[in-house]
Amino acid sequence: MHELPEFEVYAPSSLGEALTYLSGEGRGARLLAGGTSLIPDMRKEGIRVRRVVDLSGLSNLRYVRRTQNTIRIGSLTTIRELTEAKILDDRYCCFKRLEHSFGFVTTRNMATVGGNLAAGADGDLAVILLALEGRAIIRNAKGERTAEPTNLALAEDEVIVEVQFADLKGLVSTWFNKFEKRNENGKAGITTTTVLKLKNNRIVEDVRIAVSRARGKESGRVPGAESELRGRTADAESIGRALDKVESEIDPAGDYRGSPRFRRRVARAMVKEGLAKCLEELDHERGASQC
Amino acid sequence: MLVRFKVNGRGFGIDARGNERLLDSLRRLGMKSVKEGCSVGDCGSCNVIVNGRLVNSCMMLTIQARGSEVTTCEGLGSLESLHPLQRALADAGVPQCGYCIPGVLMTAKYYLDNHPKPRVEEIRDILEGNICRCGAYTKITQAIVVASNQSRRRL
Repeated sequence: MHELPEFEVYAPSSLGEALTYLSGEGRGARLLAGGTSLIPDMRKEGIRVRRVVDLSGLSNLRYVRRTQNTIRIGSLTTIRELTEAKILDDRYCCFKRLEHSFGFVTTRNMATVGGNLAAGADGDLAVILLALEGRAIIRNAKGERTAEPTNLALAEDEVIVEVQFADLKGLVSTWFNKFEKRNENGKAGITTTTVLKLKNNRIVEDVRIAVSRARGKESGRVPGAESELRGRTADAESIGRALDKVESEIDPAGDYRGSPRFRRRVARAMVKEGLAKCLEELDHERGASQC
Repeated sequence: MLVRFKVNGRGFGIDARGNERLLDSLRRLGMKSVKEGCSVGDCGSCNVIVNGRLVNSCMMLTIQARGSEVTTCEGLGSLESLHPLQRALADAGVPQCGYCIPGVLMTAKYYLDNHPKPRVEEIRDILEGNICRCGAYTKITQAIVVASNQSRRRL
């Protein structure tokens, strides 16, 4: 374990101040939001840091709101605030599930949406936003751009300010699953998110399946599995074919936490559970959610 | 830089280095109940409550606590008048080495503040963030249940 390096902290009182600092004298500074990634990285990996920008005071970036048909989540919203947001109702079990699978209660109280996205493309939020077809809004002193949640390519003067996705409408449900070897606070072996939208007669109108490490270490959708379900009745036969596709279509990288074959099997089991939970949720009456 | 915050209701101003963690500052201020364990947010020995949120003080810089209200074990009760949680843990003979106990107490206080009618399974779940090398989890859970029953009776 390394000592924390000596560094200066700049605590801006507005986003504008932070962006100006990052584009000038603070170029190359590391951003600190919840601290649950940067501090352990400095302790475990010995990362050398000279300047840190503490974003935690920018409370106007902590919100979950609906604007017309878009859900907008401020980047400094904590995971706890996200799981408790009233706007994210029973259709958004994928977020509620973070209450059970995202670290300890302390981690959920500290970690932020933007911080989790910035920490890596295989993070929990990235896989959820991939299935929700969401995007990240990124700003620097010169302007704003949007980026895929799994391909942020953050420059050193940029800050994630918001994530957005189209509000889900109709008979739709979502589920998030995570496999990690430790009970809590470990690195996920694999995570999956399932979004299932039905027509009234149990025909699948839309389905989206996102898997971390779908290709190597990259998170991605599983289009072959999705097309096995789209337009068909959600029954054991079509789901079985989709699960076969999940297992054959993804090509996860292996490491000490699991071989590629193991991860394919776990992904299959988690997508199976995700689809079953989505169907179960859609069978419940409104307000009787199990998530 | 000068950072002002309240600890257990009392205002402090502390000259903190940039890399100083809330854990270090609290111990400098005499709050020796706050213990350093893993230093990376895994063990819960340094848990304190900041503005009503349970946090790992080893992962929070002091500057991030500016203007905040911090509660540590020292703010729960005194030797003459123990907090119901402290009394229940002592009565159950929970502490062995005792190193994890302040963190456990803050986790339990945070939990009971937000869940006045706790279930045993939920208590076990929330204690996943507190590592007790003596393995006293069963007694800790029982003591939290006892404390929650006492609190309800008082209401």
